Amino acid sequence: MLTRRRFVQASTMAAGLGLVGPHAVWAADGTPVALPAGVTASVFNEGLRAMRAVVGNAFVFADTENLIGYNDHFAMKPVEAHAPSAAVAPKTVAEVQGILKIAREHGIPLWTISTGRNLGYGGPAPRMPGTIVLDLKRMNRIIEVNERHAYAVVEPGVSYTDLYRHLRRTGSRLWIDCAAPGWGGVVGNLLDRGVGYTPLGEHFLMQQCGMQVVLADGTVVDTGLGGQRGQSARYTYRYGHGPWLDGLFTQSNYGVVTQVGVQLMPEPPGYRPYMVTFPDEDAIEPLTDAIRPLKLAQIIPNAATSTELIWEAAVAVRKDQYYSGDGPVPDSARRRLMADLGVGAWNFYGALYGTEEMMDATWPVIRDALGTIKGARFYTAEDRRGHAAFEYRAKLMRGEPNMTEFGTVAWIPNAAHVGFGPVVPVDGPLALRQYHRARDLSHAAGFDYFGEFIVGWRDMHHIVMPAFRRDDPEEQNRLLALIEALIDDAATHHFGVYRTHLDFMDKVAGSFAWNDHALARLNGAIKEGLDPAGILAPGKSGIWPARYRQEAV
Amino acid sequence: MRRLVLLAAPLLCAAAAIAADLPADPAAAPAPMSGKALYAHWCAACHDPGAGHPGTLRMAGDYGEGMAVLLAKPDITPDLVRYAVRNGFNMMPPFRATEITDEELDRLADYVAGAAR
Repeated sequence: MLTRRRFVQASTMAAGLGLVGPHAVWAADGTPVALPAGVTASVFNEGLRAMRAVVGNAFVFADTENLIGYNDHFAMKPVEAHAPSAAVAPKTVAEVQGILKIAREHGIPLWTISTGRNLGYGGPAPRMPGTIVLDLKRMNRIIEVNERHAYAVVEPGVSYTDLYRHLRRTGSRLWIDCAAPGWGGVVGNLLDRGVGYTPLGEHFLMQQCGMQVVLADGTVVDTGLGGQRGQSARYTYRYGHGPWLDGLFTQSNYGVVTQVGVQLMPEPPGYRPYMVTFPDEDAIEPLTDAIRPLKLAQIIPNAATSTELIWEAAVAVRKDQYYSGDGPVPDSARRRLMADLGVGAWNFYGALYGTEEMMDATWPVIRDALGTIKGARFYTAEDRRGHAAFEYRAKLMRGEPNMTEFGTVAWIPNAAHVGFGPVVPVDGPLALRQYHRARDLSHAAGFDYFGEFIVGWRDMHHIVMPAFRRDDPEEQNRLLALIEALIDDAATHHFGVYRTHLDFMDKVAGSFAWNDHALARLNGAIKEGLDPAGILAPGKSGIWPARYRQEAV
Repeated sequence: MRRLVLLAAPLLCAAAAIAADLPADPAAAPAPMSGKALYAHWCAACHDPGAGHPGTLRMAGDYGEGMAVLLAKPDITPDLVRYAVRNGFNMMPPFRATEITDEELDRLADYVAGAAR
């Protein structure tokens, strides 16, 4: 049958345009190449038939055309390394339970995704090839918005954009906190312990309140006060009685989270985003030390950012407009970027929230503290009107989803990026050391240093996202080596990585090695207790069930 | 080989951007979205004109400033849109049928391809 895709492929290739199809994961005879380890074709096909009976034929995807969307589009290795064998998309908790039952009975592993948009960390692709993706995108209900107590209850398929638009359309006075770019999922990002930019920017710490989880055995558990029916404080008090379990279901493979209470921010009476630029490349040290007391005292209330020049520039211009050679942008071009864009080597973004009187009182404290740093220049929204970088930051700090930051992969043609995220205290010398190491290793590997520090409260996420060519295997191999070197370097200098790409989950987990890998052994024991059949997300965060332990690298 | 070189094709990114004709609540089984509304929901934040739109920024580099805005590009066909959405194109990742259904994709493709005519 001549599908549309094959028609376009054929006609484009006939025109000499060099269109090449994506990887096939199915052989010509229709047999999946990437079966889950230890699962025969007959058992696999029987499992798929049973899943179709649960969710309907339309929501089990086992053909090459539909599975392309479940690959890692930003892969550094050939996509086969993380290619799923199929995907199944339930609509209800009952359907999730039905799929888990089939997975248990057939020994078929599942990899859960919400919106599948965490590009740079693997997107929708599973850690282990052949794993069936459990796609929760269709579970997209906004179950409740509580204006009085400022929270929402959402399913995993709800994106930031969905929730934001829903609130604006319904006249809500609540703000969300979104990651950048805004196409991500509220639940998925929170479960991966992602961050945003408002005062509720530390998503798990500041927003999560109550989960519904389907365990591997099919049991549905409501955490916290949800363990008692009808609790009025279920989404305002997160702990309940006894052990607080919610953290177990973040960055893990212990259950399928199907609902989360998300605390939201009431719209403040006033909002003033600001930017401070610093020309000195090492300004991250005094800047970080100046920020610390302001953050501890919450004079800077939001998850603010210290953004390095290349990240700042890449949302507005392309690399070849300033430098067409190989390797990182040279100093001469960096100086031109700073002059043309009116930005610094480091650029700090924060915001004031509250009444005019409150903001008037707070601003001089911030200005005086940051004004002591050499070359500091202060900007308001009025000063930066029309500047892409300021305008998207101003949106993010008021929880307005947008896609501008995805421009960091427009820096070079046909690009992707990958995330490396060590955490560091809000400490100038440590931040400087981390920056120098990441910059020097990036430059030595031939990449620009793409970095920013997101200042949460008492810690900073140092987000390093080098852009690389998707069509250059040599560059991809260099990037893999760079990220491995960065992880090793972080471990050597006692910096933990908060989140990582599929390719590095085992390596990062292995770096938490104290006391003969006691933490990993505890994680493994919990896994065996909650999921003895090993069907949930084998390899997530380096946690492997016994049956797949040989897959770890 | 994994490269996809489709010289005449657009970059289609997902996106935000508020549009007046979006349904009241996308999560509550609304009436079918028009092609224009689907563009506003999924594509506009990357592909609209002006600064801050990464698809437009990249297409200016790939095709020239005059060919950077998706809806103004005259050589887009519905099949190219469908292909790019389902397979991804360069920096733009693919979109799954659980995000944009086949029926929605047909409406979106017709709208995007017809916009410049």
